[in-house]
Amino acid sequence: MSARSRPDHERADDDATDAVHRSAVGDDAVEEEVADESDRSTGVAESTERPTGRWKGVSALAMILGAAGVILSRPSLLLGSVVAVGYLAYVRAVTLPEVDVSVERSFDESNPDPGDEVGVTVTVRNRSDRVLPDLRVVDGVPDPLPVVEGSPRLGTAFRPGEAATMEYTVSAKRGEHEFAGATAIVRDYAGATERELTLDQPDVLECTPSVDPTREVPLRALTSRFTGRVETDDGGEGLEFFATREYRRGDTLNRIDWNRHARTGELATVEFRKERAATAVLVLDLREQAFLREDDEGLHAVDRGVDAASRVFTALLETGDRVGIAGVGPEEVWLPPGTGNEHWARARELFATHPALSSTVADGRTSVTLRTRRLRKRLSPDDQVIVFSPLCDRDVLRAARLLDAHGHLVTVISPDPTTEGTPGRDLARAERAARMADLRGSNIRVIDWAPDEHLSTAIDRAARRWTA
Amino acid sequence: MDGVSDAVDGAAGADGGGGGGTDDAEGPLPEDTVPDPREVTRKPTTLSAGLAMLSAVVVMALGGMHSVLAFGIGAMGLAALAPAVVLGSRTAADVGGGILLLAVVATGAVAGEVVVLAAAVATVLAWDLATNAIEMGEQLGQEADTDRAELVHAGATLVVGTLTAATAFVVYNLATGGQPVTALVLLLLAALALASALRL
Repeated sequence: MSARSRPDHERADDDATDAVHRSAVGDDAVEEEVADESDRSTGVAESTERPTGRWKGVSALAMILGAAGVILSRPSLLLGSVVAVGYLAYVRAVTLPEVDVSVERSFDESNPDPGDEVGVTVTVRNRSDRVLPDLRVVDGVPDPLPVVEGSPRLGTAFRPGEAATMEYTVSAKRGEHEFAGATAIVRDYAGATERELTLDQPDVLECTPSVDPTREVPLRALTSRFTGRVETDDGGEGLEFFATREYRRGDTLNRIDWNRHARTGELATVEFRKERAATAVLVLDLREQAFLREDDEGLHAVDRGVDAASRVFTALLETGDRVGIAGVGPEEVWLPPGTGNEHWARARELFATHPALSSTVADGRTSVTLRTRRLRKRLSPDDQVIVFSPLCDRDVLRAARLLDAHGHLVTVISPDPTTEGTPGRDLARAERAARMADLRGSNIRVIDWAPDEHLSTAIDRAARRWTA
Repeated sequence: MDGVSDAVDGAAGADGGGGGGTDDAEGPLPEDTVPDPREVTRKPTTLSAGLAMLSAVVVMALGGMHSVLAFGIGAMGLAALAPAVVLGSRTAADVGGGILLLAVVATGAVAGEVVVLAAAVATVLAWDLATNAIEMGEQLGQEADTDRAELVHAGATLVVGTLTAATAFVVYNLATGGQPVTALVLLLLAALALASALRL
């Protein structure tokens, strides 16, 4: 279809059709180029013609008016039946036009963040020299992307060479989304026959979260042997004064407390507070039960959890901590703790493209006990755990307590998916609050993160309570 | 699930998806919720629906000028067509078209040729546009920009009807100058022969 030869613009005639064509597309050379480009990109797959059968009643009209005219001896009614016969002839005469259209799609933002609204403009152009009286186009918007404004559907008529655009806005979700192609239905003037076509125009909207690190992630005092920023209760190399002790052979000269030596004649060594790096494993709740949101519009708790995890991950790497990623869901996700640029790149790819971390709801049941047991085997004794979960069932609580019992310090960052208004919602909210209180009671830190709040604000708010 | 089901949603509501055919299964819209912008309102498109109602009013008015009976039947047709173009029922549209046809018969029993021709065209227009509004609504939904396709369709139907009616009227007037009865019978035969030749 798309390989149809284009009307010859060079030919020197000034028929009306061509004039319309020219005025609609402007410069011929430019148009030629555009057309060539879309020749490659827009493929058309067609189904067979099918009658719509919507004019069947008109023959009844002819018969009834004619019969009534004879019975009532009214010439006017007989004449009326001619109108119906005229329509029958019209339906018979019209044919389905050949379709030669191109589809172009453009996004107003090429790499949006999750939750951003992306405007999509689809231009449909009739490239044949025939009129398309009725073309209905439905753009192939990928399932996870909700259309928030406008409609990806268009019904219009085309003069030769004419183009029509439709604009709509989708809300971006994390991952790669392929706009497959548009489905179109072409009809003749009367709508007596129609044909369904697929206008192939693949475009990919890639939405990788920009990982602005959150300001600082409060890690707990369980550390590794690497230098870092978590302050320990241990003296040694560092910045902050910690204690003085008796001089031992081998202590470096610049650590000797010379003032004290001048005062008392004793040799003493100054010790500083050791600052160590921590190892943290980010555990994401990816179960079906965690796909909760406060209304039909917002992001799922899993989406927000993954977003928070990517920020926390970057923040921790920047401060020199070792970070790993684990997922509790139908599909296994595991990135062993590590550090450095290569690790960061691996994690970034995982956050952006791993199917288990995508915005589509995970299918299948997850055994939290089994996953926790496997996770526990992978953790080294000093690792601390940051759990990202909406805390909407008790399984997560049990898992967090189990990890805590095995000596891992647990922090829970919990995107709040609850809302209020109905008794059911109030109950869900109260139950979640009770679960958070429960966790806090067993020495597990919980950061409650409201939907419209910045993650760093939520962390600050929680940190104030811990220090108080 | 601890009663959170209020907040639960499955997959993000999908629009488009490349369906577009008339076979898209769509549940009824819940009445108590605010319409979701992502949901396609598969109700008849408003432009064609309005034009269909207008045509039905024309049929009723043409009948009303000549007989109370025709006016009454026309009003019934209008009443049957209204739910068709609001709710999107093909059956209601066919019933409405049928009643309007009876109104044309009632009009023709007393009125002259021009009125009957106009009423017949308006009847076809009302029924065709109502059907088109329903189909357009099913395939594209009310939110889509469909005005141009609807106008072209309505225009084509109107022009074809007007041309046929005008031609018939002219031929009839020329023919009835001499032998009215023969002309009528021939016209009838021609119409029926054409209809059967077209196998419609």
